[in-house]
Amino acid sequence: MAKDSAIRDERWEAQLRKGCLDLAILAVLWNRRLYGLEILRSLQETSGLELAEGTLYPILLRLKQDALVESAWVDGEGSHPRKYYWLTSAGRERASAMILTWDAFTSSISRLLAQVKENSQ
Amino acid sequence: MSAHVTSTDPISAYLNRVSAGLKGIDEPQRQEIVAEIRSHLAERVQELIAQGSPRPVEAALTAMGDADALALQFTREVRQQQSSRSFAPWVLLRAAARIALTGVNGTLVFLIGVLGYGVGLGFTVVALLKPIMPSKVGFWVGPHIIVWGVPGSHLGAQELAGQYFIPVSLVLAFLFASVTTLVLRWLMRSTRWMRYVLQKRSAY
Repeated sequence: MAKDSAIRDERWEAQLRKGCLDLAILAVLWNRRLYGLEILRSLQETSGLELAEGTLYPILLRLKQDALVESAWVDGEGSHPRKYYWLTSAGRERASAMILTWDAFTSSISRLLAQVKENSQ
Repeated sequence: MSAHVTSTDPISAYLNRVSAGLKGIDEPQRQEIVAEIRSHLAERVQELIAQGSPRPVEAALTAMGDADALALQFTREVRQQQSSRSFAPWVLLRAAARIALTGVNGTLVFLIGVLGYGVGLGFTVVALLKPIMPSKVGFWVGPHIIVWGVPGSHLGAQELAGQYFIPVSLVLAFLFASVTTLVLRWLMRSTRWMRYVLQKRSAY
């Protein structure tokens, strides 16, 4: 039973993380041009978000298809070319809108959880 | 890169599997995807060698995840985008059918598609039937019936559309098909849950 509960918790956490991946990726690109591995490192360092490395690239492809990010290959930095990503103006607008939604959502959930915490003390 | 080239080099073999799994994606985009994964793996292997990993290639491939699952994630993203950009009813309906398997909301989208295109098809069929059965097909209005098409019995009812029946039917068919297409495209592009449920079914 405890194992099932732990698995359920892990799944819930994974879904929660997945739900905010788009926003997190747009956020790490806010002022920077980064390539895939740097995006992964930034997510890890700044938000503790660790995702399967392969998961990032289909998301970047979607963000690019949605014209939220742009990309270009850059040669000569390392032993192989790197594909850098940056936000487009549409990406910046989307990120701003997502931040507002995120703030409203987390505030309302926090209010709810504050009641639960209060009652459980 | 060819999808069918076999290789004993683990990274090349992995990339070949990814490439082979990128079904329905055009060659330039396929090459772009594979090139990016290759670049990532090359850098990760260098990092892992520097960190003293005993099996850097295997570790890099493991971190990247299963090649088939990765290809499937790319394919889903591209196909969904292609569907949302398409104006072809069969492409939109096929995409809606895939989404229908994922839950109640997806089923609703599929039903909207089936209903919208079904009504459009119905108007087209009655327009085509009018020259074949001119006395039976029409806009029949009577004490107990209002039918656009072929009623079971039009006893006591009057046909009101006359020569306008075919053009009006065709215009209505076009309108239903167009509105359904626009609604499905909008749903495919803007609904976040749709992407969520599609991703939920893929490996993570």
